[in-house]
Amino acid sequence: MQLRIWRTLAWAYHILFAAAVTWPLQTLVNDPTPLVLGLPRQMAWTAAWVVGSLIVLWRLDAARARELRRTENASGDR
Amino acid sequence: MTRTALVTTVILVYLGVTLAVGLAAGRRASRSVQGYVAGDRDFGLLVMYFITGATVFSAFAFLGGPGWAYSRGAAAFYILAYGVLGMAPWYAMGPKVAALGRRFGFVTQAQLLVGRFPSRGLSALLALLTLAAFVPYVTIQMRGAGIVIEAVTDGAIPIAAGAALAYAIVLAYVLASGVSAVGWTNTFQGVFMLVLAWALGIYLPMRLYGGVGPMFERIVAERPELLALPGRTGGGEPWSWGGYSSAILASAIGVTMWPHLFMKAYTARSDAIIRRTVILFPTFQLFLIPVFLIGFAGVLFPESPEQADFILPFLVLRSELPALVVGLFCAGALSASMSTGDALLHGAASVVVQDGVRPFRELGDQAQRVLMRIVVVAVGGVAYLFALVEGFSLVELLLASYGIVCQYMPTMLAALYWRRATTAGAAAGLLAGAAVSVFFFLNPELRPLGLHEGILGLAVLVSVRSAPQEAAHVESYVG
Repeated sequence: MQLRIWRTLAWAYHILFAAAVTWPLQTLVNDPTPLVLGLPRQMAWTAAWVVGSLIVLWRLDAARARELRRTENASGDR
Repeated sequence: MTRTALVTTVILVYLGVTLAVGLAAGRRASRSVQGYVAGDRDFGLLVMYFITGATVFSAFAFLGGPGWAYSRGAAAFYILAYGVLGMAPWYAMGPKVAALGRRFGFVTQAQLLVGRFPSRGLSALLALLTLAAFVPYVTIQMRGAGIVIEAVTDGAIPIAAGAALAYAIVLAYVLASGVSAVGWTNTFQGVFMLVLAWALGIYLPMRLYGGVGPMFERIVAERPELLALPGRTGGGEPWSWGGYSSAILASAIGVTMWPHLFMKAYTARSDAIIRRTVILFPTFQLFLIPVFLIGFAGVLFPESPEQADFILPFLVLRSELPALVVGLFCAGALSASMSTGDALLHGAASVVVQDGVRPFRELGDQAQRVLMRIVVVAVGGVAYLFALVEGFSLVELLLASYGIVCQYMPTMLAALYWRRATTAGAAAGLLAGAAVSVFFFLNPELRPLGLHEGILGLAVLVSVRSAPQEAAHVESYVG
């Protein structure tokens, strides 16, 4: 069940990512200042989505591992 | 020792280590087609991580990335956006592709497509398109290597000799060890690229402006137009939002459809390793941040290079860095070039023999391996001849081939996920997409909204009116 939620979340995240870095959403984030960690705001914005991808896919993978253990345990009980 | 001699020594040591790593890598692989092309399907996470990262990021990222940031400003951010977008669907697709590879013995991308849509013509067409896309790509890598070596040795080693030296080494290890050499040298080269990019990307702004923040504050004050998306075109005009957005989408689709990257799914030891490679890919992707910082460091530099793509060697040579660092930088740039060039040469040979020749002519394992080595040398030779010709617009050709490679995507999705797809529909869709893509590449003024021609090609849909495939056949691919 959790696996399905994370899978849906991962798809939704990357579709949002694509929308957030292209027209028209990206036009909302188009002022280089204030700088974020010394970087122009648009660059930090894109980099943040890149890092988010790592986190979402990592959580999805963890959910997959839990699901796999659960089904293995379940089949072992029988 | 003079400065040039010291720099040359560092480069030679780097090339020597690369050669040694490449030759040693082949000892473990079996002497079979599966060993030469797919590394016996036994690559672990470390090698998969670096083979993916180092193959995606070529001489174009290392030299072109700073060049874009320097001359086109925020337009360069598209490169930061697309890689992860392209790689993420691979989390689901990669294990599926690998499973089909194990089940049917596939080692190339076209074998999977032709497995689902049996047609020798389709196989030959894919081999031809791949070859046409790879030659300009290899040529760019060779020129990149030659340019860097010429720049840092003050012309003591001209482009032709530098490219020949670097690619003689690539040929040696690809011929001897196949994909195992590509994997292990890419690991070595990937570490080099990452360390060098981060070190230079932070050091240059520090040295020239006192930090990354102060550098951008000055750019905002003096050249604000550079930091507004969608940035500038190569000619300095404002770029269009359509061009920027579709460049991200077309490149994201293209990145996983490039045959030399696609076939690496067959090299992983397990599905978990493919998934983890995808998860970790963003950590490699972020090396574009320091790459852009290098380019931005050149914006307010008092002098400018003849071509924007030379901004990185230009800054390195004018920043009074120690000769050792200059030599290491050069090795980093060579790593970027060679780690993509080797995968391309190996991929071209695998595709030509497996998809272009084998469907038409029965070949033994031994004959295939000999023929693949001959094709490696032939493709390398042709690309080298192109590299010697000055002023040939290869980047244009490469962009055109990106548009064509994009057209593999609908066919691939249909092969893996669409039950009703048929051979006739797949072939027609591929041809129509490629034709539209080439048409808009040749007539750029006709593109609506300045969209990338690859995206326009994808919009062509072909209705499937032929008879459906057998249920059992479909089930083995889609199920």
